Amino acid sequence: MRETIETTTVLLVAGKGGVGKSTLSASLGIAAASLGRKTIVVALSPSPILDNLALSISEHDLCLGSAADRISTVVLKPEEVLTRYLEEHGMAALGRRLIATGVVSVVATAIPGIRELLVLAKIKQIERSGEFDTVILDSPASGHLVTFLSSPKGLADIANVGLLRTQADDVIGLLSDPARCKVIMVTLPEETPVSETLETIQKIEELKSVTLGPVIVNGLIHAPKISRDALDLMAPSSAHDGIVGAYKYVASRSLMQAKNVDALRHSLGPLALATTSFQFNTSLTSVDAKILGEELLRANTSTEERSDVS
Amino acid sequence: MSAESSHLSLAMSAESMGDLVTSKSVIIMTGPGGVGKTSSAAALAVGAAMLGINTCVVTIDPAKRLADALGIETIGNAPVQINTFGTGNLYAVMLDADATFDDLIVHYASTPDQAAKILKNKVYQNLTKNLSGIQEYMAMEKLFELHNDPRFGLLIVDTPPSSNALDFLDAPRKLIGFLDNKVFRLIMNPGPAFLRPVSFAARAVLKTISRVIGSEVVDEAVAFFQDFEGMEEGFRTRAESVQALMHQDDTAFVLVTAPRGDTVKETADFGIRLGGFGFSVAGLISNRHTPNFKSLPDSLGEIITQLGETDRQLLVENHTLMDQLRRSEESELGTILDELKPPRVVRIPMLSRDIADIEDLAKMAKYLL
Repeated sequence: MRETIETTTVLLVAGKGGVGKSTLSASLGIAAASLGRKTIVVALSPSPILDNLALSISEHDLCLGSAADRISTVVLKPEEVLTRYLEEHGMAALGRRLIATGVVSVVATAIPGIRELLVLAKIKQIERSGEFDTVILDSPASGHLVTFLSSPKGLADIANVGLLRTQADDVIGLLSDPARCKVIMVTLPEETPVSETLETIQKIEELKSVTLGPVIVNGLIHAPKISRDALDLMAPSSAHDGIVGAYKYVASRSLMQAKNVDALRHSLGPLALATTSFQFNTSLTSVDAKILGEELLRANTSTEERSDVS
Repeated sequence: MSAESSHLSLAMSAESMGDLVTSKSVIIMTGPGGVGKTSSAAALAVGAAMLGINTCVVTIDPAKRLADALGIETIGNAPVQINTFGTGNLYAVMLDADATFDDLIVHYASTPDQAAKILKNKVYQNLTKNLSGIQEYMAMEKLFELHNDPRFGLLIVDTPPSSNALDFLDAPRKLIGFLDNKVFRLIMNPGPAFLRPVSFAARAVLKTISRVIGSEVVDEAVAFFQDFEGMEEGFRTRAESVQALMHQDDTAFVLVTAPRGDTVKETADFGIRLGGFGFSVAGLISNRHTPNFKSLPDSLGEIITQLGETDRQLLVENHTLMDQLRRSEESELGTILDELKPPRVVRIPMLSRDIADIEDLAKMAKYLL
């Protein structure tokens, strides 16, 4: 994963709800900043982990080390992006009026993906400002991801003239350049998330508008590495509780997950896969995000190189 | 699978949804994405059918495996009957939100020509995708249509995962607000002479927009409002009837969650927003709980004395981690319980595999009922 971070400016982090997309966005941000890159983590709605990261940054939390000086966070609201866009194009008064009269809502409905386009245009603007080496977007849930990524193309087709057309073309330029932008899919090592991730990847590949980076499998459980003797000793036991029950539970989950990861690895072909481990608590903080970020930096890069060639 | 059956006895539910399925005629399941909402809705429906209630479950965009488990292969608005071991009949519908909206247009249009024009309009075609909450609202529309169907004693509706899963409660108001847009109305009906300048101003606004997005889009929007003329009243009445159904005494809201910090916070916010719309939470289903492996001294047994030092440490550490995790899950869930005080709470342990068939759903139903 390190290579992808070092060679790409914009990382669009995507995945279904509940897979840890926001946490991994924070992790990638911390990882990039720890490599000395000036980094911004952008989200479209607030999340507890992003709030926690913002707090850690402002307090110069020791867990971030010197990375705290190089990382920042921001929450973008699509509606605000639109008003600001109109302001920047000398239409501030009009913008307010359009929104107040509901014309924006009507027009936005007439143009599929305008909200998505405006968010991506804003990301492009952040990237082009040259202020950051890494821009990470905690993207919308994967159901909407394909709409999100195909919006510039759809818009360029509909709006054949005007400012919007220029914006759409600029965003297409950003998405199609693998040095500027890659999509990082996040999933869980469970059956349904894995098969849904493969479906989404196929759809994204069909769009041919953006490059996929390594896929992150989050929440991997590692069973304790006990000796053969201990396994033999426990094998006949039918206990469902105590240390034997807890071990059997973890071992069976870890086995099931390994099967799913293998299946994913097998189907991904040249795309690389990085894993992050399950954290044994329920409210993750910057400390957890940092641990996962370190795991990502250590993730095997040999397949990653292969993906860059293909 | 052994783990799953073994933890059956560890189900921590103090209550069940049993009386809910027998006393209500509509159950609306809602909650954040990624918590097993669709599986829970399907399992509850299977359980209700097993109790002898004729049940229909309305799902939106289920994962492929779950659709397979239910035996529904394609999206379509006609309920499909599913074989269960229960005495009640079970039906499932995979909602087609666009087709549901199309049906409404055809129903309320005064002529087939008016309907055809609207169905072709780009603004209309994007309405279901872009107006937030419309997909969910169409589920409520479907619900309204199905609730008079004599085949069903109980309808269970699964709302789709979205960051604003409660937008459907606000969707009728938004939809009507959208259709009532003053700027576009003025352009179509300039009205009395003294209002003409307003109409001119509206035109000027649209002209500016044309510069930004191109005039074709604006023309399409104007055409939409012209074509829609006269249909708003029908939509308004319909929306009111749907609202009334949701507020009936025999309609219940069930929240689905998982015991993780971010999810729990979102779920509690949902509950509060539901309250704001005048609904109360009838039950809470919390999925994917870590089982309780009990405290150590009771279960050390003979094995621990025979283990080597390293193995024993590893196993004790693993047990401790699982126990800490279970406790912290319980404390996360506690925040929702404190905040919303749902009368029914069901905890479902982490299942050893994904739902693959109707038997899996029946197993999950046992926790619910």
